[in-house]
Amino acid sequence: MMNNRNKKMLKTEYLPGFVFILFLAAMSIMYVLLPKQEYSPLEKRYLSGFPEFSFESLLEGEYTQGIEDFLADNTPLRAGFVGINSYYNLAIGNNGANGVYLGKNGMLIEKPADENNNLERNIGRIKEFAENESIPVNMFVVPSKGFIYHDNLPLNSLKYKDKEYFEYIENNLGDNVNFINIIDKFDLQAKKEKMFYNTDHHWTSAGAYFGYENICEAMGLKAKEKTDFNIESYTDFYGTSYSTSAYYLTPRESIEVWRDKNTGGDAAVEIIEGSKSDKYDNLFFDENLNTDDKYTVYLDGNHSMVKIHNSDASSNKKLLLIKDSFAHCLAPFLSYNYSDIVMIDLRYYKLSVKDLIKEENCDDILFVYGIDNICTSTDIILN
Amino acid sequence: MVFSSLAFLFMYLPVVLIIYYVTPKKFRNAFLFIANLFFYGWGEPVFVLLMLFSTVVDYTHGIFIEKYRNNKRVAKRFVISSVIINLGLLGFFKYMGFIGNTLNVVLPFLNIPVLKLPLPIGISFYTFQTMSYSIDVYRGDSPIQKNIISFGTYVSLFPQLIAGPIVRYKDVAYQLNNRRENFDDFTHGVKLFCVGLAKKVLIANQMGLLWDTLREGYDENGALASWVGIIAYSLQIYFDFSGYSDMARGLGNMFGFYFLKNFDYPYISKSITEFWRRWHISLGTWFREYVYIPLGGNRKGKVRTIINLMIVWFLTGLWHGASWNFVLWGLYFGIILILEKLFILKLLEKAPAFISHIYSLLIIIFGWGIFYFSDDCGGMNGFLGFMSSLFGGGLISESALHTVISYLPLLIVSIIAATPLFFKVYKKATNLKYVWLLDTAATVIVLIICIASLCNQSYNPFLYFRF
Repeated sequence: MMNNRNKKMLKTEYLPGFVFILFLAAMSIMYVLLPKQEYSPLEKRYLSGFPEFSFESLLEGEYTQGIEDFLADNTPLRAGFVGINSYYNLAIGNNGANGVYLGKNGMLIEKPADENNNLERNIGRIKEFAENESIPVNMFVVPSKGFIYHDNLPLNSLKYKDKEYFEYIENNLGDNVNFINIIDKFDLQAKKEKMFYNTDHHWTSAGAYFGYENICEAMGLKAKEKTDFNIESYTDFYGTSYSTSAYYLTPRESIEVWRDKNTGGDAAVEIIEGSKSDKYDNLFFDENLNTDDKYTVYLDGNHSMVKIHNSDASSNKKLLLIKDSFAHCLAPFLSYNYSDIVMIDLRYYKLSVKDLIKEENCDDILFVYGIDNICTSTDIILN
Repeated sequence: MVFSSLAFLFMYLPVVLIIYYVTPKKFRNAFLFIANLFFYGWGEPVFVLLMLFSTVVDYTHGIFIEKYRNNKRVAKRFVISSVIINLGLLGFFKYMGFIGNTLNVVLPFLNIPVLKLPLPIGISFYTFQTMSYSIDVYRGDSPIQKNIISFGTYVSLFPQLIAGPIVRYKDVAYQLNNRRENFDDFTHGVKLFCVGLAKKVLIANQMGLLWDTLREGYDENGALASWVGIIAYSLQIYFDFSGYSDMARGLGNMFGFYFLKNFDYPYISKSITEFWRRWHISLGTWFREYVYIPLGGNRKGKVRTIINLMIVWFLTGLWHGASWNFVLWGLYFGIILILEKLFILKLLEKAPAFISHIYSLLIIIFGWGIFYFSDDCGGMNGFLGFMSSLFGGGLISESALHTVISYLPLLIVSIIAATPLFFKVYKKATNLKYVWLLDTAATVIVLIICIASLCNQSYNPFLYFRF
């Protein structure tokens, strides 16, 4: 205790002032001394570096703005502070302040898509596309985690309108699209199996396998047996819901890879970005399991175009898969039914889809989207 | 630079404080002057020149006014010149575009090219401060400042540079050269700063988010949601502004200055007259002393009083921004204040307290509705019309209800914090033996949560990062 020792100079009442200065100074010193990160694995983005000085940038105000960006991206203990902010908001009743609910049993659940969304337009475009296409068009939509696991939602949460959306899609896609509607079955299956990851908005391999079985049934294919796969489990996985929400106390979980017992997932995989093309020999990118972004173990995550050739497939047919990231752990299963899969992601693939169909001579077309993306996407352009 | 930024908290403030306190007393103003200019130049380096220009011009005018003290006519010319230059600066940078646009609407054949100038930060505040200096020196209300560095320190004083309070020269004249920094003031300043920071970051910013969410698509959210929205905006504007004033006063204390209180729990007022005695006090004082009273105030009969009040409130409105809705907002209050003077105050005296409170709050909240929608009369009419339609668009939509419930605890705390209750409780607690421990803990907790909130603004997890 400091009191009474030196009454004139140091009274305990002055402690807040000292602590304030110490706090600011300690933060400043840490800014200077702590090593700077170039890349944030949690945010999956490069952080701002210290700006380069020039008189022009100073006069334009760009230099000082650059310093502010640098300070914002390099705050000492930044992740800790961001986590504190999330739990503070949770404590004052604002669960989901960062767009993700902390649900029961520690499940992280993305908020539903905005009610005013692009569903109508996107479905209209797919319908029109199918009307002008002679190849059979199929569509599969993955319901949202919040809808399937609504029992885990916090008390005050927005409504997940998947049921209405699926009904809308069913009624409005027209006769030329075979809509594989599994919303009710999926709901039932979720009571038996873990269909979604706890810390990620994506479905698990079990979820994707269930989707695969239903797609096969609807498209007249014979699904590969579950027993044909070795189920491998890798620990220490955290997904995008974990990073977005910053509910960092959520335990990490395991990510599953379903590998063919015979081939071990061997297939010719070609990843094409514009004029660049890289070739691989397996459906699974095991080295990505050692990184922070483990979900990219399936076909290396987001790419403009991926071509899969599986000589072990049961047919010589070619599938055009128009998809978002929900297809990444589904496509390996489909590769046992189609010797060739051409997979495109319209967020990045900006060339003509119709030309591609002609060039590639596809036998079937399948759309695979998560409900959130089909509602919000602005990239579904099918010229 | 703003106070609630990482650059201010972790770069500017600790460095300035440390250098300030190791600098010998007689050089402290000079150091502060440089630090002020650095602070000001952070956002718009070019406008530092404007500030230096203002400093030199008003300093010189002061000298001349003093010199011709015995020749009223000449001295008066210098005051007028100072006022014209200051208002000229303000008019040029703040109102040129507005005047041009308005003239083009009224006289479209003129087709005046409209200049769009960036508004120098704080110009509305420091031009008013420097004008007060010349006028006070002329009136003999204030001593002259012969040291240009000290004068520059006053004009550019960083704590109140950006958002006030408008410190009249006479209120700090003595402190400029004779202040005594001490631990008591410093500690008090730190506490006040933290209170202000919490008001700004933890309440105002959050209420802003709530208002933004409820305002968008208000006609689908329902009437109750619009009411909650405008209440959230009323809270945002109060906590933002008064938080800034608290931070300014706290920082002032840290450097040995005392600035007068700018807000005194305005939302507990029982009349609009009282509200304007509690809201942005330094601005009200300024207009009273330098416009209303010189115009004759209330000493020239009822008609002149009314005219004078309307002039003052037209100008008060206009000062808040170069847009007609601000003028409308000012006149709205002018008319209500006149009506209060004429008869409403007498009625309110007889009415039970809660009626007076509801009356005042309704008028204030409706006023913020006018205040918000600048350059968008359609939006204003739409929103205000919708609010007053009561249950017109349904009570509240499901998604708006979700938002409101998410913010409800903070909303309730904010409403209580707008009354003196917390302060009264704290006052009681100051008698406790270990209140310093509470203070220290509160300081640390506020800092941590505020920094956490500031950090979160830059935290942008990127889902699809390759492109």
